[in-house]
Amino acid sequence: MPRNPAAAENHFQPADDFLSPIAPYGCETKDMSDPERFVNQEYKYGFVTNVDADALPRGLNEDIVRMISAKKKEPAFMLDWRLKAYRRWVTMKEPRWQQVQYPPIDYQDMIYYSAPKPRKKLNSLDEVDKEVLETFAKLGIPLEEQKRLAGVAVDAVFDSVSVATTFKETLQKAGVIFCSFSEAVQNHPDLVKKYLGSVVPYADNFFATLNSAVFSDGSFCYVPKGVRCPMELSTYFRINAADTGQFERTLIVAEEGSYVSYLEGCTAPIRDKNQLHAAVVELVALGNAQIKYSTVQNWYAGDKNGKGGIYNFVTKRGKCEGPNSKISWTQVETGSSITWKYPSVILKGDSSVGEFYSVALTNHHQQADTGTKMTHIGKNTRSTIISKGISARQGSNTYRGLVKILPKAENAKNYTQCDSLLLGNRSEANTFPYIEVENNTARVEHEASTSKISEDQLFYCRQRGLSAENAISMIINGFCKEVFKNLPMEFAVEATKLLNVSLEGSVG
Amino acid sequence: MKTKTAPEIFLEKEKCLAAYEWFKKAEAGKSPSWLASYRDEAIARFRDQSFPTVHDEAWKYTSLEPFAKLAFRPVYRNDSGRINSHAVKNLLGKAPGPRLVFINGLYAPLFSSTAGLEGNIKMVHLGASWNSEGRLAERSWFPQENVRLEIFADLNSAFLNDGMMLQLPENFLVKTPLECVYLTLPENQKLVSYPRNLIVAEPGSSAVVVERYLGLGGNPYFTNAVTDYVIREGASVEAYRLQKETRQACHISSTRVSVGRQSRFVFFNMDFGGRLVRNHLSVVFSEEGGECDLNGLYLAGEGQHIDNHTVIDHLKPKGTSRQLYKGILGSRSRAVFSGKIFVRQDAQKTDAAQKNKNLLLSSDARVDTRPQLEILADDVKCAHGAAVGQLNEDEIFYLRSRGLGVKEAKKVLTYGFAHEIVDKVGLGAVKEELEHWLEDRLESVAHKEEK
Repeated sequence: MPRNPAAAENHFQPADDFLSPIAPYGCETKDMSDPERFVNQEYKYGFVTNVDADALPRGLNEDIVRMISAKKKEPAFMLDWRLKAYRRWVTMKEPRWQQVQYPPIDYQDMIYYSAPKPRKKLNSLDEVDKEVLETFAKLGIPLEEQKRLAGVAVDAVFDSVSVATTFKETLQKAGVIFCSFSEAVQNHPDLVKKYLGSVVPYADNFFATLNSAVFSDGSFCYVPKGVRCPMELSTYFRINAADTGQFERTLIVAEEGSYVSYLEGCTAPIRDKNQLHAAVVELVALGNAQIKYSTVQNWYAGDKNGKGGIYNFVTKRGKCEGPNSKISWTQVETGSSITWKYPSVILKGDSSVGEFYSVALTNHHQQADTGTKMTHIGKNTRSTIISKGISARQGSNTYRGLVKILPKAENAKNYTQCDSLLLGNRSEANTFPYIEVENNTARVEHEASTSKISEDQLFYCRQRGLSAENAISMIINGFCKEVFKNLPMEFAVEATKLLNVSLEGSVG
Repeated sequence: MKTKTAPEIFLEKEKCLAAYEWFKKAEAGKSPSWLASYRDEAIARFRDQSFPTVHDEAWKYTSLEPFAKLAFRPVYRNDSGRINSHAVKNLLGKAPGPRLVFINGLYAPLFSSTAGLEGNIKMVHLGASWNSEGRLAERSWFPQENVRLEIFADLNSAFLNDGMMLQLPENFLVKTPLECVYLTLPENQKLVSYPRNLIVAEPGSSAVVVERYLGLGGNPYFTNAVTDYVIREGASVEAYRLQKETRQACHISSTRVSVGRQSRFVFFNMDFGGRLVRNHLSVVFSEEGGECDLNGLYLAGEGQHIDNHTVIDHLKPKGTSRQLYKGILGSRSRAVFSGKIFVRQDAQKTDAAQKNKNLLLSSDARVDTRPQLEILADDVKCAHGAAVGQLNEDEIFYLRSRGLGVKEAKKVLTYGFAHEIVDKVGLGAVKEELEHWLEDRLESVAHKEEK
């Protein structure tokens, strides 16, 4: 249903479209058995009054992009940027080179904007799914935190709102800006304008471009000159974005000499109805600044037969803009049916440092194609890549990495180690490193190995009295230790347990 | 053929297809029907492909651009009177054993000799044996031809005309090395040749095989070679591939190896010449057990581009593969290494290791390396590594403190880097030759660096 874009902007009446009996954007032509549709229907009649403000019709076109921007009351530069991205996206082809398989995605069958809905509050933990509670217990998550994660109303002492308020005050004192992306667009448009797309341009790749056109919200963090952020930042404390968005956008800027550590995700299993997640994360580190970005991802991985689960197609990139800056990525990926991302660092400043530590675990039919890209531009730049892949049952794990040393990058150094552990004779482990060196003073080393847990190792542990299961989990944790030690402490403890839970029953 | 010269080919599909039509007409009635249909099948596969560009993942780092606009002419009749036999003899040197020589892609009996051929070894040139040995060629012509499409190998099959066929009889251990030499003499025109070798090691046999690619003269030429090794149960082959084309040459080769049950294949690939070099090596473990040891050494300078593309495919259990490729890169040179190891689901207890090391001597040298593992079996031991670096300052200092000049010290260290491969060479004559080559080339590479 093509319309005049200008008219759409001026006569913005989504309610008419959405409630109209005439099919807008083909939604009525959908099969009646589509459960997604019934969900919408219920929604449609249950909350007629606020529907017009909260959701857009299915499908994607220029009007939708304009509507998203209008809903968020964005300044003109944001709309221009989104439209540029959308127009580019239309001309782009979905990449197919990755070592993962999934059925084609229908981009016209998605809802690109719906305001965060309040979750149904439960009265006590008794109402929470037993399976979820069991997982919480295994992960050792404190009771009050369990409640928060499960959406149970928490008592005043532990009210996340009040906790968050205290944190906000501390941050404010330090001068750190940490807010949702929408707030940043409203309150700090100059900063957003300056840094948005400076690391991941709007035309970067298919999914990043899609994200640029339709992203709904995300996090924004700005650490001023010389400030060491007084606490580890986490979306956890940002109340209004507790739900993961489908198209998130994170932008972190560390001014000269500053330091920030950012945590993303959590170990608790998160179920989400959106299948495709195409987020973008941009990091900018100016001279002498340091950014540490840690991710623990445990989204719904689909069932034992590989049905359902989240596609996690994320573009993450950091830029060491100034001299002596440092960006460090640490990730523990155990969830999602497909994980496909390459947190990268552009080492532009002289003597800048890039790091990538990753543990990716795939079980059942999960697939992961992940790795990093280190682009050495400045002199004396250094990068370290440690990647550990574990494939269990029919899991498929691929490391794909690029180390690129440009001609001007004198004395650049890279060390890469990627190890794979196979648990199960139907699992798959691939290693595809790309090394491109254009400067003879560079020193680049790559090592990779693939093996299974040896009988000898197992035997040794067992004769010391460990059960087979415990022995294996100990060996796996040893295998991942190099990565875990780079996680913030409380995360590391949870991550260790997370691996055990994720691998449960897959050995022996 | 006498009255009409063959049409030129470019690296252009239409031109190649037209040249094939001409070739087919000229060959009509001369070759057995199986060969004609073999060529037809190859050109049909060729037709379905297109010449690779840098947009193809496998050719990402290698562009055929410098040779795309050149017209190459095949030779179907060598004018022996015009060949400077003195220069050729000088270049070839003394044969250590039986040797077949091909000039511009065609058998040159004047320079070949099969005297001293032991036992029942069949060592013949294909052109003469289509009818007599046709059955052997037909039977063992590569089973995996269709598995991995490689446009240049198909082009070679389409224009298949001459080459060496070698059959080692069952349980026969050959003592003298068996050699074939392909020499191109592009005197006043740009030439293309399609060398083709078929080596079948029957069960329990053993031999050393040497392939040599040489060139003379200042004209550009194009060598598109294919060598197939069939190593049957319990056989063992040590193969050398010495590529020393001129600096005007484009050398593209495909070496395809089928490793049989408990058999062994040792390979040395030495690239010293050529302007644009691309070697495909594919080793397939089609039966249980089996072992291969692949070694490569490339030395590039002044505008040379050397690309090694290898695939080791473990289809069956208990295979062992080792690979070590080393490169030395002088000024304005580029090297590419792309090595893939597949371990299929059946191939339990596979032990595979791969290593690529590169030494950059010049600030404008470039190397791109891609060692890759694709593993679908769990009970395996696989490792790969890649390293890029330059000479160690401390080591240079050490040698200088012992009284060596900078140039000499660098040469010694570079030589040491290469020696890991040279040391493994089992054939004395080749080893000696390699050492001379290295000495020569390192001198010139080091000399360039001084300036």
